Amino acid sequence: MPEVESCDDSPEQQSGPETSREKKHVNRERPRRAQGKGQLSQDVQRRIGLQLRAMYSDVVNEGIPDRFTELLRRLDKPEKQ
Amino acid sequence: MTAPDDVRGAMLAAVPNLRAFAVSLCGDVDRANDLVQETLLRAWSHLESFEPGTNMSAWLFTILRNHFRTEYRKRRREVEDVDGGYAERLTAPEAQTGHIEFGELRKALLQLPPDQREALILIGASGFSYEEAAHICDCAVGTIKSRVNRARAKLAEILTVETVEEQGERSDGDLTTRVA
Repeated sequence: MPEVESCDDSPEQQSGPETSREKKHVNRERPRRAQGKGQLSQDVQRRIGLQLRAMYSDVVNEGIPDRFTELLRRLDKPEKQ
Repeated sequence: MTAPDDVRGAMLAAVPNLRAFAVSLCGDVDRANDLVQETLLRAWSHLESFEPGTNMSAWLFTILRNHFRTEYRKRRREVEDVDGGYAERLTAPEAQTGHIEFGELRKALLQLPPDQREALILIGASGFSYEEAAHICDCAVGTIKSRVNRARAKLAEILTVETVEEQGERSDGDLTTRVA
């Protein structure tokens, strides 16, 4: 909430060419500022999602370590307990 | 009692995903491998409880998840700083291979409560539906959804504290430069 304030009181203060330039800039900035955390966190969520899948598929891509092929081969005998 | 080759094949085929799930859950490759091994052994000795035609992968995930939760509770009681220890051991080799961001993500994952962690991985990485994840975790679909949401929010919070500050500084800097 305090973040929004700083962005809201700027437009009325000045006049002249400076203002239009600044206004343009402020307007361009506004969507990001106004939504603030929402937009940022969407972007963050997307990146976290991508990273999570990348991390996961890194392990998937290691395939089947020999120990598990061996294990299942050994298990593949009739079980007598 | 006989295990047809296709069952054995299906179990083997599930290994890569089981390992990825286990690594994401516990953050430790060696322990993950042990979890997978124990999962396969348990599955094998309870093959009669698997219904042919149903999802073998989901069945194995359920076994692994339950085993992890039992172990987690046991370890929690035995050692206090389990998670910190894993996180520490992880960062060193990963920093060398340039996968620092994965190291951070893994550490952050370990800070989540296990129920949120497992929900997020099942939905966000393993590709299960909410219904399947609910079945694996033995809870309601709505519970999975809220766990995933909480997990995402918490992860973002952990991983972005620095990023937000940096971006704030950077955009203020841009503003000054452009206006002046």
